[in-house]
Amino acid sequence: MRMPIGNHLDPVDSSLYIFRLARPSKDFEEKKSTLTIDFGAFEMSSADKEGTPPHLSVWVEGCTTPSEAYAFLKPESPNKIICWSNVGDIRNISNLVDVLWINIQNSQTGAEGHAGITGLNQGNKLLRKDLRSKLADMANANATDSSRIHMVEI
Amino acid sequence: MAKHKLALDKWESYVSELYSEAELIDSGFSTKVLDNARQILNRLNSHFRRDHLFLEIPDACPGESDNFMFVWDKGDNYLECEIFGNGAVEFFYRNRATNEVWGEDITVDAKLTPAIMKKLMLFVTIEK
Repeated sequence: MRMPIGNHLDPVDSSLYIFRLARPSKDFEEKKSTLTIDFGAFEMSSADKEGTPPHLSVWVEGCTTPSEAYAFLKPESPNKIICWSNVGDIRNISNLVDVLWINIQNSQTGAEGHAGITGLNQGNKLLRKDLRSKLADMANANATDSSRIHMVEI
Repeated sequence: MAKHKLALDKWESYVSELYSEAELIDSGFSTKVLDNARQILNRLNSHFRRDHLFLEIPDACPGESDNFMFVWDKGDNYLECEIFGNGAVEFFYRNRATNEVWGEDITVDAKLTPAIMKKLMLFVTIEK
């Protein structure tokens, strides 16, 4: 059963998990036991930066499946690693950062689970890179969670 | 050092395979950024080899904004080197224990500064 979604720009509940799809890095296969992820996974794209508000696109667990999220990417995208993060943990990184529902006008299955991490483009470059690397650390820490899948099943 | 040679070969193989993907219009990264990444890593390796040191071969991945990332990650020390197709190179360091952060921007042809070398030394092994 699908979870109810929030209104546009409402905060996502801190108990929920979000995910983002990332490309495997060079050493992913070798380090599979620790499930190294693409450390660039938390870089905002040009489209993300132009969003209102600017946000890093993510998907809410229970509203969108990883396979559905994958269908939004370009055909045969290499971004098949699923990076999981708890919403409350993300908020704990910095009071600049929040996770909001970002409703998108799209009839594709799973579109309703779209959300965004906001506040990542504030401050100076050091702060932005600091936030990005902390998000990657957090996703890495969740990469051994056996209750979740970590590779998109196509 | 056989391990270092293997890691270097793996890197070369990885980046070589990326060139065909970079030719695709929607790859998000160019052959130029791959050239720049190769150049900077070759320079870093050569610098340390002169002193009989081995710089660990970092993990690596292209981005989608004509950028390419190298990451060295050991214990509390996290160092990234982000390279762009226009030749910009951004180093960023974070210590997970102390929350120290540091960054420095150069270009792919620019001299490597003492501050950059000091951070890279955290990921260097001595030739045996």
